[in-house]
Amino acid sequence: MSNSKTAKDKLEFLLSTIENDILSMSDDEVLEEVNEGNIDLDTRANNIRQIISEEITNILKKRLYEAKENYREESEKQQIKNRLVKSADEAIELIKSIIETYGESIPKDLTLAFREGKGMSENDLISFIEDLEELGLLDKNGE
Amino acid sequence: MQGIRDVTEANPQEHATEGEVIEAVEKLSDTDMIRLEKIARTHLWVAQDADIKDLIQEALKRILSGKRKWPLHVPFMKFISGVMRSIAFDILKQMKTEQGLRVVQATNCDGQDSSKDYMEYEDKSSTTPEESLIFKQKLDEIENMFIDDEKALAVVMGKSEGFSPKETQEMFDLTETEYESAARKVRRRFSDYLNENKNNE
Repeated sequence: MSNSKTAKDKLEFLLSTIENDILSMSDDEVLEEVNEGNIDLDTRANNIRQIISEEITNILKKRLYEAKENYREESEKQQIKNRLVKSADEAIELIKSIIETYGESIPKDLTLAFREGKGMSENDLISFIEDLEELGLLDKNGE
Repeated sequence: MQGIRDVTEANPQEHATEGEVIEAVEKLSDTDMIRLEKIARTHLWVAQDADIKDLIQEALKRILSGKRKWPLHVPFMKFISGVMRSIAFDILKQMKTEQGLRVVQATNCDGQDSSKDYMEYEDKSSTTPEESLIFKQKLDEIENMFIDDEKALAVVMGKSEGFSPKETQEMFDLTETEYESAARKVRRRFSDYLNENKNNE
C-alpha cells in the first residue's frame, strides 16, 4: 500500500467513491433504503425538490428584477431622447447652448467632460443631459 | 426552452446553458432526489457547519451563475455532486480560517474524471499540520466504523488509497462478490452513521 498519499488525499478518494456508489444505486436499492426509514419517498423527495425550487425561483426573480432595472434605465434614456433630442447632433447642440447660457454655473468637471461632444456616444450624451436636468439647468421640455 | 443536448455526443468543451441546467434539474426523479440528499449528507459530514439546504442551494447558485459550468459530457448528478463536495471543503477551510488556520486555495471540480474526482489543492505541502490532523481524524472515524468487519475495512482502505475494486480484491484476497457485498455494507453503514448523527443534533 502506498504511503505517499496524505490523509486529505485518502479522505477525498474515499468520499468520492462513496459518492459514486450512491450514484450507482439502482432505484430499487434506493427505495429499499427509503422504506427502512420513517419518512416515505414522496415526502423526502419533495423536501429536496422544494429546496431546489426555492433557490431557482430566487435566482430567476433576482434576474428579472435586474432586467427590470436595466429596462427602466434604458427607458428613461429613451424618454429623454424622445422629449429633447432626436440625434447625437441635436444633443450636442442642446448641451452647447446650455453651457453658453449658464457658463460658470455649470460644474467645471462637467464642461470638461463634455469636450464639445467629441468621442461621446449617444448614450453618453443622453447621460450628460440627464445630469444637466438634475442640476435644474433645463426643464423636462428642454428649455 | 431548448431541450438538453445529447450528452453522449457532447463535445468535452461544451457547457450547458442555464436553460439546460434548469431542465436537467426538473427532470430529476424522486430517487435522484434521494441520491442527492444522501450525497449532500455525505459531504456535510465534512462540512459540519452547514445543512442540506445550504449545500444544495449554494451548488445551484454557483452552477446557474456560471461560476461552475456543467460540461455536457458529464452526467448532471455527478457534476452537481462534485460541486457540493467542492463547497463542503470550502466550508471546512472557512471553519479552519475562523479558527486561525491557514487557508488552502482549491480549484474547481467538475466531476469529469473519476480518477481525479476530488478537489485539487495547490500542493500537498500546503496542508498545515492542523489540517492534516483533522483529515486524519475524519479518516480514522470512518475506518473505526468497520473495525469489526475485515472485508469492509479492506474496502475502505482500498478506496482511500484510490485502488480500483480489482486491485483491492487482489491485495486483500477478496472475490468479486465479497468485494461488492462489503462495498454495499460500507455505503449502508456510513449512511446509517450519518443518519444517526443527524438525529442526535
